[in-house]
Amino acid sequence: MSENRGSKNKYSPVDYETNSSANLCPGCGHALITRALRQAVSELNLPPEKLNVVAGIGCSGKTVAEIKANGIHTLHGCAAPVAMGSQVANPDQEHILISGDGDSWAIGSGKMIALLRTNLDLLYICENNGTYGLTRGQLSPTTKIDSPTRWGMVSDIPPVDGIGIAMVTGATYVARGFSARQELLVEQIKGGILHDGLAYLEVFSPCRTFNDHEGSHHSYKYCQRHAADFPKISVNDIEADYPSDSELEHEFTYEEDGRQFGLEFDNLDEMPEYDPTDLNLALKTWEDYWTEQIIPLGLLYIDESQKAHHERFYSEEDDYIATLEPEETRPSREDFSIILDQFR
Amino acid sequence: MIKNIVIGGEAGQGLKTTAAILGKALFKNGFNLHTSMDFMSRIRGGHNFGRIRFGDEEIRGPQEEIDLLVALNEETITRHVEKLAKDGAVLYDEAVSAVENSIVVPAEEIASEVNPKAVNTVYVGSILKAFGINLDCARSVVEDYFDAESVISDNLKLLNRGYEKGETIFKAPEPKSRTGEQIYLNGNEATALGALAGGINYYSAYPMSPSTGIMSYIAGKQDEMNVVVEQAEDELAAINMAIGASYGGIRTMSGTSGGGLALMNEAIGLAGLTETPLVVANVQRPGPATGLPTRTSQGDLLFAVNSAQGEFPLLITASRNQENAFYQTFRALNLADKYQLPVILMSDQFLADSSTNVPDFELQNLEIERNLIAAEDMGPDEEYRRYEFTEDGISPRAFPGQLKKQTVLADSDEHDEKGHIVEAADKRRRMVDKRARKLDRLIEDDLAEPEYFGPENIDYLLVGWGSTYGPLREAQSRLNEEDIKAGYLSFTDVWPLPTTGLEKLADNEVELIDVENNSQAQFARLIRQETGIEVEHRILKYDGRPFRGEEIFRRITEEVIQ
Repeated sequence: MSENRGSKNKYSPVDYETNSSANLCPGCGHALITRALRQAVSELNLPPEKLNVVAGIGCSGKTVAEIKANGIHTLHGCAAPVAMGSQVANPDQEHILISGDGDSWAIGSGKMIALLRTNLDLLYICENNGTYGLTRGQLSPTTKIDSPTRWGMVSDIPPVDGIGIAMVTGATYVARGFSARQELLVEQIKGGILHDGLAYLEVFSPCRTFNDHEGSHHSYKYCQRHAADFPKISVNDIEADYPSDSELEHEFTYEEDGRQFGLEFDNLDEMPEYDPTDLNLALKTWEDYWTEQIIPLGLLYIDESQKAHHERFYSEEDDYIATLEPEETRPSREDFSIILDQFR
Repeated sequence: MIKNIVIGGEAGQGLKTTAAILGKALFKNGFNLHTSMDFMSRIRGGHNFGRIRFGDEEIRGPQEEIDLLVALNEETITRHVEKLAKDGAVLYDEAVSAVENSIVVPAEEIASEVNPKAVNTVYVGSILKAFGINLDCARSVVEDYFDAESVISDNLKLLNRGYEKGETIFKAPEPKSRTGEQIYLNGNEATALGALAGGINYYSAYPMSPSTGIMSYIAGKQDEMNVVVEQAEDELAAINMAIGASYGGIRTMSGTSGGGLALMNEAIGLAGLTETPLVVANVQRPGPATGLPTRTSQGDLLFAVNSAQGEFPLLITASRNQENAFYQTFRALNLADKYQLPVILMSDQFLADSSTNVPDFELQNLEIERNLIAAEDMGPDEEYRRYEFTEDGISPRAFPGQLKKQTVLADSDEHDEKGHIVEAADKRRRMVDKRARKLDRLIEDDLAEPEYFGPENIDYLLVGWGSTYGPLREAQSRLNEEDIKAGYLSFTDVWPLPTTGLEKLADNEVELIDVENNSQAQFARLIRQETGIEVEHRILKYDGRPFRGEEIFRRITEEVIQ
């Protein structure tokens, strides 16, 4: 990583702050994710008006208040379809969905499956704290069997494996982050925004108030202890961050407002057996870790070859509907009169 | 003169195609007509039928008495023969001894020589022959209806054979009364066309009878009309997608029937609180639960009025007939944008699946009004506020990316002018008042008073809403013919309830008669709630079947006027 990183950026993380508060508890993992998000979008040089943040309901969804961007705070479990509608209206914007484990995988589970199938060009951040924080610490769909709540309640059914479901259902960028690993998270967010398709980023985000106690499988301590490195990525501005004679090979490159970004893996040489573009391998490896209760952090799977959802409606020459003048979006009276012929 | 044809058979016998070809052929011959379908919720078997009423007078709905009964199976005869007119006839593939006029056309046998799948076209030929109507128009309809050359030629052959084998026993009405250019379409098609004319770019829905026709028509026009049709995984998703697309800056619509509207309810509140323009067509069928999926009802009125928890401005408007469905849909889209609120557009299976001829749509007077903020309306250093307080409560609306260097924040939590979550008591109260002022403005400027039909001095006032219009107009005319001084007030906007016209007519001397396709007189209850006016008489029908004009007339003379 070069030292002049970000030197061409017009934006700094401060530009994405608001004077509104999500009123999170001190030490909340979600606040750290918001911080990483601001850092990531500033490094990508994305103006706030180019971002669209669709938020679900819960502590996670409330963080939309602290991000200067376009945004819509939706209904419980329904952020995914709202994001689908707004993404199709204007795929030119960068669409980020912020949800929690309950919002995504309990009330929103049906919506989640439908969304994952579409490969919508969207970064889905699932802020997973293994509990219902805003209703004061009940079991969530991701609560582990051996992980009692602060009130001593124990789940006797297995948790939802969001990462596994995302991989088999059609997400084309699947990553696992941890709110306490900021640098990693910033790169994962940048990669997910640049990725042309559905990026599912599940972030281990401890709830200090209701799920950070001894015995919890969602505490800071537990995650630090069980974390394992997986393919780490970095996403950099090719021109600004590398000398022009650099021989670095980028795994994937992206263009964003005239700038070239490259995504590369930092530690794949340490795991010669792994290939993050191999779905079967990624799944198998993930399931092994899942059984062993290890928390792999990194980019588990990526596939840049699939069509994004909006590419089924728009051709490359098309302008996106919301960017057109209203007159251009509707049929002329002549065209409309032609379709009436069928009824004459 | 008006003639009434009933064609009956099993599901899967091609009844819909037969009715479509025959209806269009009669239309092209210059007749007025009304075609309504009575389907069971099944793909094979059972008993389905279509009624086609045609003639040289205005026709507003179905009728009971049958002139020509076309039986694709024997059950059709046993079920309908008692409604046969005195000089009526039955068309069947063998002689029917119970009736005087029996036209025998061995259709299956005839078709088996050409193309057994096209058996129903034989009937079309014989039906036209029964009225002495020549085949030219039917030929052009067949040519348009089918794609493959061989199918077209088979059908043309069978059309001729049917004509040759049939016999003329009725004098056909003269097709001369229709004026101006006309089109022939059903209620779902009219709604879909209103949406397309209204410039929608997005339609998200989940298939649900009897609303699916709107989605399938629009889906067929996606490329031509620049519309994205999203078949969602359920109605929850459908409406939230529409809200997302509308927030994203494009015109959107969704459509469903009662059960779907129940699932959509929370999100109708989301559109209300986030002030996101949204039009949802609710094509009613009898509920609750699965109810009668392919039949008709006006049972969702009070449910729609009471949509979602909490209080927010909402407009509910009902289409009275196919022509009106087109203009109502267009208007609903404009009003949703103007007042930034949800609009529920009420229709029902009777209107949705019935076809009739209507005057060609007048497009030149239709203006799409998005009511979006213009860039020059923003001061140089002004920060955009999505929920800015204004006198009429309508905040200048922008969508994400529309204004340079501005962001748009919409929130389903109570919020301040910028869209940020607030809980302060005074801010909450001000926001509730702001949203309510929009509705006051709508009532003042845009709420449609009911239309009145009838003489100046009346003893009886019929009140109805939406699709009962046709049968009610017929009933009211019949009453007037019998020297009963009755008028009819036809409501389209039902929530907020326009009260001026009603209060003017409903004086002490006039007896009010509520006519509705439900069992609880929901509209009469709404009238009492909003005006204190008690509608003393109720003509209710809740068997899943539409009213017929003659039936309303008879019931009024039996139950009201003694």
